[in-house]
Amino acid sequence: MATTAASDIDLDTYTHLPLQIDPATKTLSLHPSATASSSPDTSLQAALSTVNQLHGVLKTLDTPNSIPPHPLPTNLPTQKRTAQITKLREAASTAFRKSQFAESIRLYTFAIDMAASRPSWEPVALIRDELSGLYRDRAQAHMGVRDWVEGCKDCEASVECKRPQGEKGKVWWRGGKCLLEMARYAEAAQWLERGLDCEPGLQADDGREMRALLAEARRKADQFTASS
Amino acid sequence: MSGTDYNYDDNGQFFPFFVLTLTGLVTLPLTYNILKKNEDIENTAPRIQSDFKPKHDDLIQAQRRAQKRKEFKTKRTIAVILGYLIMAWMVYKIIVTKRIMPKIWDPYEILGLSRSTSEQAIKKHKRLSSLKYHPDKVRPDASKNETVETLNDRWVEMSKAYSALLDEEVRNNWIQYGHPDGKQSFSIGIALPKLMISEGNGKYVLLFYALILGVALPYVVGKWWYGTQALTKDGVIIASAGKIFKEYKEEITIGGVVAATSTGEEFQQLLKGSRSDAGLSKVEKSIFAPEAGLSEQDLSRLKEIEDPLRRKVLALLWAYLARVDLGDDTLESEKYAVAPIAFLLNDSFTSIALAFSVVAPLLASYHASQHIIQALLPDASPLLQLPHFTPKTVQAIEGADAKSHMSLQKFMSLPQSSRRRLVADMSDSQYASAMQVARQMPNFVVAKAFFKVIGDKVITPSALVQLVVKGRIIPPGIQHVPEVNEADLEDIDPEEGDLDALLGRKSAKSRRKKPIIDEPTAGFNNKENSIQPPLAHAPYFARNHSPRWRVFLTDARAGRIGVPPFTFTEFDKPIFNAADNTPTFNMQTFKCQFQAPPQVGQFAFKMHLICDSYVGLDSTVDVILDVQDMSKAAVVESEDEISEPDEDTLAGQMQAMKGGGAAGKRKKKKAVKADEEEEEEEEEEEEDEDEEESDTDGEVEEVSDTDTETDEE
Repeated sequence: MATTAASDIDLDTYTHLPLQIDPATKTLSLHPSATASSSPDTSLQAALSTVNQLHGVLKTLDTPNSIPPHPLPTNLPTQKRTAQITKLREAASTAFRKSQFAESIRLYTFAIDMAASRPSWEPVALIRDELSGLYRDRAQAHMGVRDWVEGCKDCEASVECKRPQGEKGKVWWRGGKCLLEMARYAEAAQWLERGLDCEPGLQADDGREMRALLAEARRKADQFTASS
Repeated sequence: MSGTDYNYDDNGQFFPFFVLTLTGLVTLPLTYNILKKNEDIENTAPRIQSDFKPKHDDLIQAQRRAQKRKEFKTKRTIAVILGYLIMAWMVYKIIVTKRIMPKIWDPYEILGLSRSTSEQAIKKHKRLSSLKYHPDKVRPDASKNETVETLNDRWVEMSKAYSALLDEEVRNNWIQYGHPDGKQSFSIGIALPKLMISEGNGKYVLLFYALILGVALPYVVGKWWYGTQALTKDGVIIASAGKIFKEYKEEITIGGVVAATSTGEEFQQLLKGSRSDAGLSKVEKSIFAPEAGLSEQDLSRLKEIEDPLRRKVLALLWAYLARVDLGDDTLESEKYAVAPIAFLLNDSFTSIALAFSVVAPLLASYHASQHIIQALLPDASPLLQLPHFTPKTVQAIEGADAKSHMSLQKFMSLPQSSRRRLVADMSDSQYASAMQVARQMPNFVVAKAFFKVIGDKVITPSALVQLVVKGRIIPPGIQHVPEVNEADLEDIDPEEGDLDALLGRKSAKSRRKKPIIDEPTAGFNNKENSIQPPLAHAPYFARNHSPRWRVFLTDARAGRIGVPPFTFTEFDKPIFNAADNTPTFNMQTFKCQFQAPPQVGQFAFKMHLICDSYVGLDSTVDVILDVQDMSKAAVVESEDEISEPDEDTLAGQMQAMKGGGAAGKRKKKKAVKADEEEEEEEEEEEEDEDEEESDTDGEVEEVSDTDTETDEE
């Protein structure tokens, strides 16, 4: 979501923007004859697209007067979007278990797109929760096809959405493994250390695999620097 | 009072005293103020020896001089000089003006008698003198310029004198009022020149007072008051702090912090008038060039700014950090002038970040201060801190596509030959000066960090905990570091009565002692027991800065600050030997006090030790604060050796009750029991007091695992 810098909100000056509105679809856009200077263009475009997107979502609401519904999850299970996402997720995980990795990745991608394009009045914590789980599982699917780079990216995205995650630190383990397979040993060690720091409750058995992986990463990192 | 008759000091003999006193009251303290040695740590610390001068060193030194001049207190000096001139003039006037003494009426003097003449003798003298001096008897003698009036006057004076000495009533008058004629009119001398009192001048005097009271006084007070109100306690204009607050974000990066500082109002005073956007395109061209090395995110953030002044400031800041040559001398001097202001504004950002208690922005702010002092880009190599190291040199060392930079310590730990080979394109003298600087950098290496409570073996809830950090200053590249002496890692509690050590004061005795000259550490001693590290080696930074170390605890999982930062600017043992400037490897101690959490349990913290002047010399240590139950503390206490109490005190009797076998004071059993209960109550009260008295230098934040993030756009 694009946000304007605080310094740009100047209540004393009026800036006339060359906007036009499409009479049919009611979308805002910049007047084509306007000479676009480089600096306000990108942020202005971003702001315009946000407005248009919001407008589109508001139009599809079936509540009276197109008022956004209550953000707290009073009847969450019946919400269309959540139901769809859950369906896609289940389909994707079954595909993964059947080792149909490409299909699984595709379905997870759909689910992520749906979750990410939720309108802005939905509770943020819930969205982040959902997204982090989806990214985590997609990372696993990428690992299935040995696509380490994408797996790494997804792990990082998952961590960015929600930290700490619980779930016994699966995302950290997966990220570490991807990095190791890419021969980025020092980064893998750093990532795993970060994971061990962040996640609670990894002192005992739950953290055993992660610590083993960390030890391996460190060993390989030392070997690498010794040989170089 | 009727009949009062004021004598104005029309001779001007008292006026100088008055003015002299007033000016003296003002001038003398001001003199002391301007002559007092500046005790700022930036002025008393030693310097790192280095002969490296960056390209525009003349501009940087000019900035330093300008700053020194600003601090010079010129107004005060001029006021002092004026004051002394006025005082000298008044003294001169006093000496020169003839003193007109008010005459004390002394009958003895008038009659020419000594004080000890008896009444009889005085009466006899009166008879004799009446024969001589009575006007009826005497003719005026023209040769002595005598007239009838003078003779009469003289006779009147003499008879008054006689009456004063002989007649009761007159004598009383003389004793009481100093004059035989009784109560005289008051003679009050007012130390004002007649000029002010004379008829026509009254209204001018009134006008003068009205101006002072009604115009000058409110103006001066208002200016001072709004002046103090205009700055926050960091010394930053309040409006600036407000703007920086708006730029705060939880996920801010170092570049974001730099951009936040560019909003400050202080820059308006620096870049006035046409300078507020002159040369902007030139600066932007040089920083948008790919050789500068700025990140896409930072450049796009710069592009989004519309305010020309702020844009120029941020562009200059990036040019400063990227060490880019701007080509124009005015722009260059502006570039070096914005950095210290940004550093000051960064302090403001740090305070704001501390208020939010989130670790990431605080770390970003501290790292930004390091990068501003050293003039490094956020993702630049720490090796660029050494003189004569350019980005090309660094690229040659690390290879073209290095993902992470080699740290300074790592580079200096390479063997000498391979190090020299890596920087083959540097001349020998340049390399030598770089190594010299590296060997003087104060790198604090933590040896041990632990918690303790003074006087207690166990940490109890809400106790006053001390975090003791023990480490040594080991500059990068020093070989043959001696092993850590285990004894140095112990922290002995000071004795119970040693108030000075408990309060952290230097003892009065050692403060008065003069430093011994032949001790090897004398050169770096400025105050007793406090050794200052050398000023930060920052050839691009136009201020003297003494490095500060900050220690704080964070909860790694929640990403929040556990204990707010403590700042240290000096050490307790010498760092470098004065003779050959080699490090002494003394074990230094930092101590921070805060209150333990009120719950029992183990708290895992990450201790950060950050130096605010050098990049890459920070350390993090995992520490665990083990808070145990109060009962364990009590158990431990009883092991302490307490001497046996005397028999005839209450304690002794209780001891006797418990242990038995003492002299039989069984009769007092009941009374003793009642007293026992009283004592228990007292103990409880004492504990409560202790909790209240414990210093809330910092409190441990309660960590909640169920913290859900609130709405964020």
